[in-house]
Order: sequence, then C-alpha cells, then structure tokens
Amino acid sequence: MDARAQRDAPGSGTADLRLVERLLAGEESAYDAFAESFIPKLYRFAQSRASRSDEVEDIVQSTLAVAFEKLPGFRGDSSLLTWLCGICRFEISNRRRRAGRSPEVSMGVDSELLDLIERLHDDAETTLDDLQRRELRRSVHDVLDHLPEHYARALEWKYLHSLPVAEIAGRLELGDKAAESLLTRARGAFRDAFRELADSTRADSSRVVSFPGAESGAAP
Amino acid sequence: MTERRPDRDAVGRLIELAGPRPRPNAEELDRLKTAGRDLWRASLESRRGQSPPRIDRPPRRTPARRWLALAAILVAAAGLVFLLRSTVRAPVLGEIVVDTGDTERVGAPVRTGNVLEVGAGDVVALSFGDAQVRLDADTTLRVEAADRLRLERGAVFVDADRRDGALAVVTELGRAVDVGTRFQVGYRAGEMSVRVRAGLVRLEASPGESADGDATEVVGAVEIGAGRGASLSAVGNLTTFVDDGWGEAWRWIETASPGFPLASASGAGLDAVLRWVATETGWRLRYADPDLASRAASIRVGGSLEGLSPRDALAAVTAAAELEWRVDDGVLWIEPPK
Repeated sequence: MDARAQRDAPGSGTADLRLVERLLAGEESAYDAFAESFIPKLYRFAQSRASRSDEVEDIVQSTLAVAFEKLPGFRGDSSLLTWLCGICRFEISNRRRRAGRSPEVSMGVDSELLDLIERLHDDAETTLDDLQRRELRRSVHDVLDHLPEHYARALEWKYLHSLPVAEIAGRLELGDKAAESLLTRARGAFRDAFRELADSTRADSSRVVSFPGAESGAAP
Repeated sequence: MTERRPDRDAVGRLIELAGPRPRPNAEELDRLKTAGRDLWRASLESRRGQSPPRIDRPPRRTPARRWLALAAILVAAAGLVFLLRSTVRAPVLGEIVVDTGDTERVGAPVRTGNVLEVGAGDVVALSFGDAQVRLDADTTLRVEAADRLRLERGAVFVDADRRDGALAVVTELGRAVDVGTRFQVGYRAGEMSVRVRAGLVRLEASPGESADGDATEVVGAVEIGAGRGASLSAVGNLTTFVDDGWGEAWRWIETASPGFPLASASGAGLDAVLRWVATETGWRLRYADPDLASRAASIRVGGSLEGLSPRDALAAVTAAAELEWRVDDGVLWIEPPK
C-alpha cells in the first residue's frame, strides 16, 4: 500500500473529511465505503457495551440515524469513528436510563495493567480475572478499530495468525523491509493509542465530567 | 503450558489475549447496511427540502403538439408527487394549545419535521406526548422526533414531569436531556443555557457539535439539578450558577400557560388551583396555618378559570375565598384575611 493510499485510508483526518463530503454530496460509492469500513466497527463498539445482545442492531441503527442527521456538523476535530462512537455511547446510555438501568461503570484498562502485561509470562491468561479479561478484550478491539485498517490487519496477521513477514508484505503489496517498518509503526501506534485509552478511562470514571474551564458563579 | 516465543512483545501479548475482533453476523450486517442506506438517503432528502420538481424548457423549437403532450405528462407527474406527499404524512406528536400570535393555529397538529416559528412578543405552548413544551418570543423550534426537539434560536420550557421516557432539547452546542423534569433551554447569541426548576437535566456537548476555530473541542456532560443552571458558550466554556426557578428568567413561561388543566375548572378544589399556580410560577406553596390548609382543600372554586393566567387566577380565587396572599423569596403564602 503506497503512502497515498495510507493517507487516504479511513481513519486518517483528510480521508474522513473527504468521505463526509462525498456522503453529503449523495455519492452512492461513498456510502458503500462508509458501510464497509464503519458499520462493523460500530457494531463491535455497541456489542461490547450493550446490556442485551438483542439491542445491538437497534442501537447501531439509531446511531446511524442520528449520525446522518448531524453529518453536516462533522468538522474533523476527531476521527469519524470516534465521532460515531460518541453518538453510539449516548444512545446506549439513553437506553439504559429509559429502561431504569444504572449507568455503565467501566473498569477500563489502566496503565498499571499495561505494565503488568508487559512483564507477564505465558501464563498471563490465568492471572486475569473474567472482568479484567473482558475489559482488556474490549479495549484492545477498540484500539485496533481506531487504527488505520492496514495497521490493524498487519498486527492481527502477525499475532493472531502467526504469518511470516514475507506473507504480510505480499498481502499489503510491500517489500519485506517496508512490511517490517510498517509493523514497527503499527506497534507504536497501538501502544500510544492504548495508553491514551487508559488515561482517558481514568479521567472519565466519574458520573459527572467537567468541561475545561468550568466554574461556579452567580446567575447571569 | 504454552511455550514462550522469543519474539513476543507486550503489544503482541495483548492482541493474543484479546483474540480476534468479532465480525457481526452476516445477515445482521446486511440489514444494517440496507437500513443505513435508507437513513442516509432520507437525510439527504430532508436537507434538500420539499421543493417541487423544476421543469426546464428545452432550448430547441418543438412542435406545439409535443409541448401539449409534455405538459400533460408533467402535470400528471406533479399531481402524483403532490398526491404521494399528501398521503404520506409524518405522525402527529402533539398539538398547539396556546398561540398568542395566531389563535387560529390553536388545535393544529404538530408532526415530525414541523418548524415552529414564534415572533417577537408572542408565545406558544404545545402538548407533546405527556409533556408540555412552551416557546418564548423570537424562538424557532424544529420537531425532529417524538423524543427530540431542536432549538435553533430562542428559549423553550419543558414540563416532562409526567412523561415516560427522556425528551432531549438539542442546539448546535449540545443537548439537554431531562430525567423527569421541568426545565428551560435557551440558545441566544451563540450561548446555550439550561435552567432547572424541578428534577434533573443532563447537559451534553455532543460530538460534532463542538466549537469552531481554535477552541478546544468540548466533549463531556454535566448533570444539573433543581435550583441550578448552566450556560455553555460556543468556545466550550461551561458556567454553572444558582437559579431560583421562579425569577425574572422564568416569567415568560407563565404567559404561555394553557390555563388550569381541567375541562371545566368549576368545582375544582381551591388547593388544586393554588398548587397549579405554584407549579406554573415556580413558587413554593405554604399556608399560614394548618387550619387554612384544610379549608383550602374543602373550598370548591365556582365559575371558570378559562383564559386566566396563573397570577390572575390566584387573585381571582383568593379574592373569592376571602383569603390573602403574598410572595416572599419564592414562597407563596396563603393567609387568612387581615
């Protein structure tokens, strides 16, 4: 994959804005690209957070309805996927509230857990309890979904399918050295995103989140 | 025990522990893609508006006979479009119950997609499901769904106390969502304000509705309880403040009151009327003594309260019952005659 394709891959800032422009212009091929790239990720995001599995499809559909209405307001301040997940998160919490369920409290993955994992030996699985494993899985999948797709695929090919670098290079239409370099960059991007997720999880853990610059004062 | 591979690293271990990303069921995915396409197309249509098809006269000369045939086809097509549009109506979500600017609109249905414009000096009130919504002067409100209203400018008051399910008021800066509440939302001069009289409102700066320019993106939420308010600026600054729930900022709501909520107010208990006045004004009702409270429950109001504002109704019923009233720091005191 050449540099231009990487730059234009979904997840990159300019690519997201370009896709939104084309969606607003009514290009059917833009919707096809959007659906292919974003609906499975949105589905995973909702599936890992919904109270009931039979709600996931509804949640995603409601999210899409709101997203298409608000699409003219997307300015690229965040990635399109982050923006969509924000809407999805609101839909999920709205459903919880309507159903009288308490708000979701996520343990998240903090940086201490990340450090622990770095020191773990092969019996890592036995030292994580069910909740930790579930949170870990959700966090890792969230991070992979937010990486450029060729990064996520390269990492999965290497670590889940144990493909040799030569085969990964072939699938990405790169030379071996370029593929090695891409894997290094992908690992770095994953590590950065994972730490950022850990930090934001800690900051988000209270029920009321303050805006920057919030202060109390007399009524205007 | 699994053999440790020499080239493993932390990232690799995390990805192995997490396992593959689940793929949605293929059938569900197809349904979502199809539904998503319909939603996307509908959003494009609604942004394009309802303008009728435009017919361009072709530049070259055409025999008159062909013009007549073309005109006939186009008229038939336009008629079909009109027929289709008039038979496929959005569902009725409510009704206009007060409109000081156009009394002929009272009773008109409110449907998804309707845009309600209120001019200077006027007010409007709607019944909206089990909620009541009032619009201040110089307000534009778009009805987006049964549970979502878009405030494009001005102020709305929401009484969602009896409503089952949340009702959101959305502006360009964020949304206010009730949790069984009476509250008002204002959006003027680039600032969104929320004031809560009763219950709880969650104010969120929605993704994609963040500030322009160099401002920090605001993503967050705050819950505002009764007696408090918050304002959110276009650059993402949030200020919270104490709000008494009955001061000057709330006066306009009384002028949009649909009146005492009984088909015939005659025969209603005095206490019920006074409690309605307190609800409308934000005052807290208190009787000077327990005997007076018992008497108020047993006194029946004669005549009609139709068309009376809360304050006028208060004056009328207390005069008829020979009682005194005064307001002191948000408390409506009902007292025996002097």
